[in-house]
Amino acid sequence: MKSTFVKAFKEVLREQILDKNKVDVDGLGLFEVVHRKQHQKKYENGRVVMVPPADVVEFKSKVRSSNEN
Amino acid sequence: MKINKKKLIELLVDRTGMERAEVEDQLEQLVNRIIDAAERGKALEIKEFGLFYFDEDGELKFDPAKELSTEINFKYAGMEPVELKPARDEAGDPGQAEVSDEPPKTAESQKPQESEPEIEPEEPVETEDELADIFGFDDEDGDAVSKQGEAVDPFDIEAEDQDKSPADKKKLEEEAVPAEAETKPIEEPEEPVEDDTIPREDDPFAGLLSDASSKLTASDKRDFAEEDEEDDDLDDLLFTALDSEEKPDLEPESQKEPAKAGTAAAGKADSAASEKKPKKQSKPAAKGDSGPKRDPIMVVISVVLVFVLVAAAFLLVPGMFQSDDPETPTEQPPVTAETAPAPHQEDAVNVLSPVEPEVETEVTEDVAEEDEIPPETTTEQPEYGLMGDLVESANDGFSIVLHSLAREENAREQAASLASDGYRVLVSPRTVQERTVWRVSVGQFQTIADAQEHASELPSPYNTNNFIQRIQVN
Repeated sequence: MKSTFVKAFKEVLREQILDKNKVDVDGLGLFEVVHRKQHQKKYENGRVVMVPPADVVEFKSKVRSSNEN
Repeated sequence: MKINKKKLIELLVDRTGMERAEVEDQLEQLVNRIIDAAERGKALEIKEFGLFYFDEDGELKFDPAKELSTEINFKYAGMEPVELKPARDEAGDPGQAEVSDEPPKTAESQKPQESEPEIEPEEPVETEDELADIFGFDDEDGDAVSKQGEAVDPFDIEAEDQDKSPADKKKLEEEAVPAEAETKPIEEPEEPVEDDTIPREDDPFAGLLSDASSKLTASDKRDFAEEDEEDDDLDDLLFTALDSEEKPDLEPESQKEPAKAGTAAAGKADSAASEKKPKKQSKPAAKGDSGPKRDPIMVVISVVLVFVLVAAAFLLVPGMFQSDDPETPTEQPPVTAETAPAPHQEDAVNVLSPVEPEVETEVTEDVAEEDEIPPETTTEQPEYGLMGDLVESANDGFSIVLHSLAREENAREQAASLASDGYRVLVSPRTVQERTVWRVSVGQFQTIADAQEHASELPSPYNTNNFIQRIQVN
């Protein structure tokens, strides 16, 4: 595998993800950006934290480990 | 838009210039390698992109690298969780469990981080041979994929534990910055010193400051030889002030500056300056301590002495400040740049503020930043930075976008204005939602953290109205 290819792969995926495109890589999975709203997180000990909004990468894959039993 | 395999391969062919068949083959190899490594219970990382691994349920997971996450989340960069209510039990263990209220997405996105440590313990089991088997032998020109924790390829492999978050770096750097701001107060105009003559009769700490004392008395003796006793009193006063001074941070600064000059005159100014300062600040303490029990003549002589010292200090202080080079360059840009924002809201051109950066990102490959790069770059200036000329070798970094305009001529105009203020200015076209915008950005920074730090130091409104993008020159 050539390093130039891996670099290009990385760049293309990054650009497409950043442009909010979903990228489906065959045999691997689907990359997409999702928006996470601001929300409160409550802990059992009574602590409450306001989590700011964020855009995050989500990866969905149907690939399963063949070692799994 | 969804990029399927066909489109992805087209993009990769465009990017690499390889044959389609070769790209398909390489892509397959890469996917196989990722799956293969994950099957071995390892996490495979593509540097600046992310980490692939199987979680405990045998499901393939991907953790984006910090660089990628930061770029994607630039819109909300710097927003930290805020504690609304503290924990009831202070002694409670930190592994507090969440109860409710969280959107399912959040839970999902946090899952990989929790499961990550489970992968690491398995790593040491792998032998060198196995690793070589994974990364290695089929490469002619270097492999770009690695196992976590194995820094094999210098090109784009990175051990995960070597990562330090941009936020961490920023914190460290921020700590160093405020010190500079402290030097200013030396220039403060002198205050009336008449009240300063009230002494403290006995100072148990006078001996500790003997070096300052000797300087003072040496100079004093020349002019006021018969006033030994008074000098002692005055010294006591000064030393008391030194002792009582709660924050000595100003003083070391003022002493540091002249020390650089290394001349005898500067040394004298040093002592004079250091004596002057504590005197001012000792005022309240001294007042409270003792009443006017001094001989009026001594008081007058003390006042004269103080004036002489202050005058001497002020004669030498301007010279010291001229030699203080960091002061002037850092201060100038904000002042001049302050005038820049005016043309910022001109005609129908839409200035895309960071408020709507869903439209952001480097989509196109047709970037024309090279136009902006002057052929000669100064060798003296640092490679990365906010000010100065563009450095071609620094185009692998990040830049702070200040304007995003629909028309090129407007972008050039803004760029020229910023360039005249001394910034490194880049103008680049980007395709955002199928239309071209011209982005005017300043600075070339090695990391996003650097860029963010400098962005916050820009003059208003740029300090709040900006976003970071990766510089792209093709």
